[in-house]
Order: sequence, then C-alpha cells, then structure tokens
Amino acid sequence: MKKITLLFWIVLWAIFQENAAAQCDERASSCLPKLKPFNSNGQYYRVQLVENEIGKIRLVFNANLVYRIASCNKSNNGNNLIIRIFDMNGKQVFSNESDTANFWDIQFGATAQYTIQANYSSGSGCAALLIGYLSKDKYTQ
Amino acid sequence: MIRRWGLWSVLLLLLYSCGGKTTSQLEENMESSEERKEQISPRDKAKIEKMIYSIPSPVQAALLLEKTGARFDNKYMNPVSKVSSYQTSAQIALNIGVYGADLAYTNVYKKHVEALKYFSTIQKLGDKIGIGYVFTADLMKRFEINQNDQDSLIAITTDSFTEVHSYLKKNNQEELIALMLVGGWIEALYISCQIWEANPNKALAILIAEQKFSLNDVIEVVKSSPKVPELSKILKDLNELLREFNKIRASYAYEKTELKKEKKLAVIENQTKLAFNNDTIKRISKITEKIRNSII
Repeated sequence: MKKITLLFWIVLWAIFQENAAAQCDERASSCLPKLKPFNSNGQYYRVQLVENEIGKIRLVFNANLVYRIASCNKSNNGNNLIIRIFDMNGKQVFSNESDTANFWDIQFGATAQYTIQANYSSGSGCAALLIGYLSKDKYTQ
Repeated sequence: MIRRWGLWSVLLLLLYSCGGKTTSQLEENMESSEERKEQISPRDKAKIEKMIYSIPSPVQAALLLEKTGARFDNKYMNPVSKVSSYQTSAQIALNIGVYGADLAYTNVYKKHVEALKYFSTIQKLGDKIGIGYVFTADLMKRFEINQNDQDSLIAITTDSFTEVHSYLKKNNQEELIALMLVGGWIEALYISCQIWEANPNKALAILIAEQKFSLNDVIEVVKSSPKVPELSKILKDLNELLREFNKIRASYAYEKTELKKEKKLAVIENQTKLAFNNDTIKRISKITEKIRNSII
C-alpha cells in the first residue's frame, strides 16, 4: 500500500512538472505572429525562471540587419520580461526597463557578439523570446 | 491512515515548491559546463544565470551573402540526390541543417524551382526523424503557390524551422537541434567560402571573417551534446577552425544608444574592426570544406 501511495504522488508530481514545461512550450509557439513582418531566426528561446533567476542568450547581431526581440509571456504575477543587452565588453547597451513592451526593434552599428539577459522583476514563470530580423531596406517604421 | 496521507501531502507540497528548480533542470543541456559552475544555491539571493547559445540562421546568412554582391551558383549546394544516403538520426539531422541552408540560399536568390526541390527533400528527411508533421502537404502547397513571392517563401521556411526547433525542444531532443544548427552553419559558411574562392571580394571576406563571433557559440552548442559521436568528431574540426579564426584580430568600440520609444526602436552606435589577410580566409575555407565534406 505504501509503495502504491508513493507511486501515486510521484506520478502526480511528474504531471505537474510536465504541465509547467508544456505551458512554456505553448506560449513560445504562439508567439510567432508578434515577430511579423520580421523573419524568425529559426530558434526559440525559453527558460523557466523562478525569482532571482536570469536567462541569458549569447548571439551575434549583424550591423546590416534590423532585429526584433519579441517577449512572449508574463510572470505569474503579471510582470513583463525585463530585457537587457550587453556587448562583448560586458557593457549594457540596451534595456527595456523603462518600457517593457512586447517587442523592441534594435539596430546595431557593429556586427559583434552580444548577450541578451532576461528576467522578471518579481514573480516566476516561463520566459520565452523570439528573435527576428529584416533587411534594413525593408524596415519601414 | 489520515496521518499517513497528511505526511504524503506535506511531501508533495515540498516537492512541488521545488518545481521551478526541477523544471529549470530541463534546461541544463542548454548551458555550458562553465556556466553551470557559476550557478549558486537558490538559497542565496544572488541571481542565478541560465545561458543559451544561439547560432545565426542560414536564411540570415544567405541574406547577408546576397548583400555582398555574391552570385548564385548551384554547384555549391549539397545535391538532393544524396538524400537516400543519410540513414542514422545524426546524419539526417546534420543534413536537414545542410539542406536548410541550401534552401535558404535558393530562397534568397529567388531560385524557386530549386527551392521547392530542397523543401521537399527536407520533408523526406524530416519524416525519418519524426518532424515530418511540420512539413505537411498543406505547407508544401503554400510553398508552391507562393513560389514567386520571396518574402512568403522565406517566412514559410523560417517559421517551419522555428516549429521544428520548438517540437524537438519540447521532446528533449536537444542533440538533434545541435546537429541541425551546426549542419546549417557549416553549409552557409562553406557556400560563402566557395564563392569567395571563385571570386574574392572584400565584402564577402569580411562576412566570412565575422563568423569569428559565431564560432564560439557553435562550439558551445556542440559541447552541449557530448554523447553524440558525430558532434565529438565535428568538435575536433571546429577547434581547428577556431585556431584559424583566432588569427583574425577584432577591435570593438561602443559609443551610445538612442531609444525611440514611440517606435519601440533602439539604435546602438558602435563599431567593430576586423584585421585579417586573404591567406587566413583561404585556410578557413579549406577547413570548412573538410568539415562540410565529412557531413554530407
């Protein structure tokens, strides 16, 4: 009986965990329309963040393109994702703290390696981002 | 009995309260071992970092290639006739990446008949590793209908690959993602190098040299799947490539960032300068060719 009860709780717990991860997946996939008319870079970035955790993405941005960084969800207490970008020297070159909109478009003067840092000011939840790009000549905003 | 259930309830609550951390562990394979070492106890209020390494998309690479004035030549692409020779999951995933880069190349250069052939080849390979559901008959039809609309074709291609990425990640098949990303990156670099060898021009040489910045991330993605023999072999070759790329000197300077809040646009003013000679690009080309030929 003990073993059956233990198994029951383990299965229940596993279902909770699976649901949490699936929720993260779902939100990321439904986020694609936010990128339009930008083309997705083919990858989606998601990470489950609890308080005090930071998700980081290291990538190269090219000076000949315009990029859109779309944030796909909110924390469990309704906060938008805070996004910061750091350059190769570790200097912060962008932050959306003053306006945590669903997306920001960014033009870089230099092709270089950057690090995007994402976190919630409070609360926990799935942090999912999509990154799109567009030729500068097609960017009309 | 009630007491026993009470104890199990407490245990469940304790387990569930640790849920965030356990879910986070699903992401562990996205982190480098170095980053893991940097992680600290959740009890510490300092911030915990989770690193994801990203590789530039082949479509982006093809768009940048076109901007250098490079001409299209289909002899640099992996022939679709080779599709039946890929049998293992690793070979298939690597070559979905390779064909994905070829598809991007044909799309950007508006070679729509060839694009359709490559799209169909990716569909065949995708079926073999369970991602054929993304490349449905409807999607193929959309691809055919829009064959004269470059923007639509690129959107269909990039959205499909995002969906594949999403699916594999959901199913914890990070190794297949790594193989596809690496296959695509190598093929895109190979095409650029071959075009440069045939007709060297400065803009293209700079585009190749800029891959210096991506290569470290490619290596980290490969390292994240240490149990895949094909990736271990590629890692050795990528390190050889890294030694050549390290001969390219880069200088970087940041000036300022202008935020245009009403447009949700940030313009970052900074500069990068790369110093290299043609011999370095030639050696990069040779090593890239060797890696690419070991994949296809």
